[in-house]
Amino acid sequence: MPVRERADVWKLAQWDEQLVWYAKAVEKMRSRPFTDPTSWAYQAAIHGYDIAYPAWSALPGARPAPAEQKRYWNQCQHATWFFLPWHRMYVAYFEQIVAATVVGLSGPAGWSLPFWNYSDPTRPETRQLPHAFTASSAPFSNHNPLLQHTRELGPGQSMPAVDVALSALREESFEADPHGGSSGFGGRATGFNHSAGRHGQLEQLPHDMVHVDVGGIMGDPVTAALDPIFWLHHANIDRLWQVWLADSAQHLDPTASKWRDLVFDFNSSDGKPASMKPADVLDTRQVLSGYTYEGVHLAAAVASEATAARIRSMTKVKVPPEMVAATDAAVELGSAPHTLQLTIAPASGSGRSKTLAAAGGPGPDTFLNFENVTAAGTPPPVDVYLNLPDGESAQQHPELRAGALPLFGAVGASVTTEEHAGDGLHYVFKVSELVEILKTQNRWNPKQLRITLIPRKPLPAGTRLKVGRISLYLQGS
Amino acid sequence: MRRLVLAHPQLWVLGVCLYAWATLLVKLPGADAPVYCSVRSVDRAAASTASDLLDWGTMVMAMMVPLMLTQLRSIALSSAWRRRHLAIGWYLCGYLAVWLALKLGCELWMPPLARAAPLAASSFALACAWHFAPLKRRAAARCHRRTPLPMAGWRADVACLRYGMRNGVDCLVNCWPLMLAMIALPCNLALMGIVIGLIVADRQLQSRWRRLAPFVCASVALGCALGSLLNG
Repeated sequence: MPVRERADVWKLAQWDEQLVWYAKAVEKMRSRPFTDPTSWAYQAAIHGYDIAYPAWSALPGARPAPAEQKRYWNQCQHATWFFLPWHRMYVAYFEQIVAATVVGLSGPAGWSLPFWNYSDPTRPETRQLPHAFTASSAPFSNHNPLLQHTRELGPGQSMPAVDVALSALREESFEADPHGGSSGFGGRATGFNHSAGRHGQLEQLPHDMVHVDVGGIMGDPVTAALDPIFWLHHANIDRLWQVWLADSAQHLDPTASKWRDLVFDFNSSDGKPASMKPADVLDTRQVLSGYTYEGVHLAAAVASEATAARIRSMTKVKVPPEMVAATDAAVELGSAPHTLQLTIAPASGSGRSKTLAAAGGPGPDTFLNFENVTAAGTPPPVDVYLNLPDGESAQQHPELRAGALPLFGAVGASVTTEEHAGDGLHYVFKVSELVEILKTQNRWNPKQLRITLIPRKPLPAGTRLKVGRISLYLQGS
Repeated sequence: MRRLVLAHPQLWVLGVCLYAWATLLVKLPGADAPVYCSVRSVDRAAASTASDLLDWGTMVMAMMVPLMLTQLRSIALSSAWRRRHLAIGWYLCGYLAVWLALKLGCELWMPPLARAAPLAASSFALACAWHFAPLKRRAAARCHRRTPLPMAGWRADVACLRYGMRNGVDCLVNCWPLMLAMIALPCNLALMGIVIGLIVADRQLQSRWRRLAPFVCASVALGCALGSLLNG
């Protein structure tokens, strides 16, 4: 069988055959018992499961034994450099299960999962949910298995363009700097990491923002995979990994054994246990029966080991960034915008840059960190602006926006579990370009930085949102 | 070299740990080897409390602190540049204070141990069971916690000290059965090697290898129990 190609859902007809078969397979998988590894509920629980959530407690049927739950459920990898490879494996097994279900329903062989490319600036309509996911009925039924009523993104509504920006593709390194610097394209080096910590750049934007913009069960990692659009979203995130690799010969996957060889457990389409490790999924043509993406040149994405080794040997390790400003106490956020001032100390160590002193030379990289972000309830995303002038609104100054705290998974990351300490999430914004803009507008004060945090919606009752520390780091060249 | 020092402000702690190991290695093989770890075995009545505390602190520096070098680096780099070493120092003070308090408490309240081997066997058996306890796993997770620290001033000093103490307590909760073995048996390199190996396996290894830790504990417990029986 030829390697399947995953198609752009917005280039397919509203009810293209692929989407019709996806809808039929979703319905079939939902009819399977909870204990069946190929059932819809079981597949979603691999990503996250908590009986305390209504979306889970409402589902009938006996659950698998606790030992099986512990081994296969709540396995999703977030805030880690396993985010991309784990989700690639997860989506590949899911695609295999759906394809087998389609064949079981007398459909064609070789079904492939479409991807939702919401970041094409020439097609703003793609920031809406694809029509097949909002229609009230399907061609074969008066109800649509792809419709999910809890979503906050309604038919015809668009996600903000800034929420699907692809700034992550400019990241030079896959791996994050562990101390206040770049979050890296793929995330920080960790062991198995289900929840808390620092999100990589692609994970933070657009991944997290799309989750919270779609909202409803998609807005929480514990329930997200119950929504059929989840899988198309993650196919796109997986595609963006390929795009990043193809974009530059300097863009390389990690080679460390602790990244390549950590084994994760899944179930294949026959319901039997299966396992995979990141080293198995570096070439998408070799993942299970193999796949490629429409519009992505694979040859460029798969660098040879020899080339990768040569490039790595030429890359100098950067010195760690220096912290030059931080809040003294935690910041508790309410529904109203919150403004605070950071006093910036002159860099005296690794943040100093020789070129900084030279007139016109490039400044050091500047990173704004939001550390130990904890939450309870359902916190909305929070937009962050720098040096917003007094009496002027954020809408008047979109150029001063540093980014947004998506808070996807913040609630789960705030509770101590056997996997993490409940430290919450950590976000990093590279604001070097924004600092240059502020300088050209004569709004930059090297001794003080004004930060304004604006929740997108009022905090619902019972919701709590706290930032443990806001800090500024400089990384000299 | 400058790049290395800039990137790893915690390196001086490694030097202190190496010095602690050198002290242990020099003293352990001798006939008058002080019993660094065992709290109150019958043959060590002569040791003074002060020197005991020093020995115990040396042992903690040698065994536990090398496992925290990544965390110490993180503390240094999330502090103001000029006080990065001070931040490490305050953290270590807090961490060591917890372990010294444990030692002092044992000195004051623990009865003399005439027969160490059965207690050692029990402690390794306990370590095996403790490996599966949710409380232990939560404490292990908390050992990797990251606490936001103020940038400078006395608030930063206090925060670092408190951070060290909290992690010391979590470390203790995480590893107490293994440390009980250290308390029970006269210290020797083989025992230290086993305990360090188990702690490293628990903290550093990927999940599949970590599952071996309880089997090693069970084996050592069995070994201690058999040794105790054979020696009467």
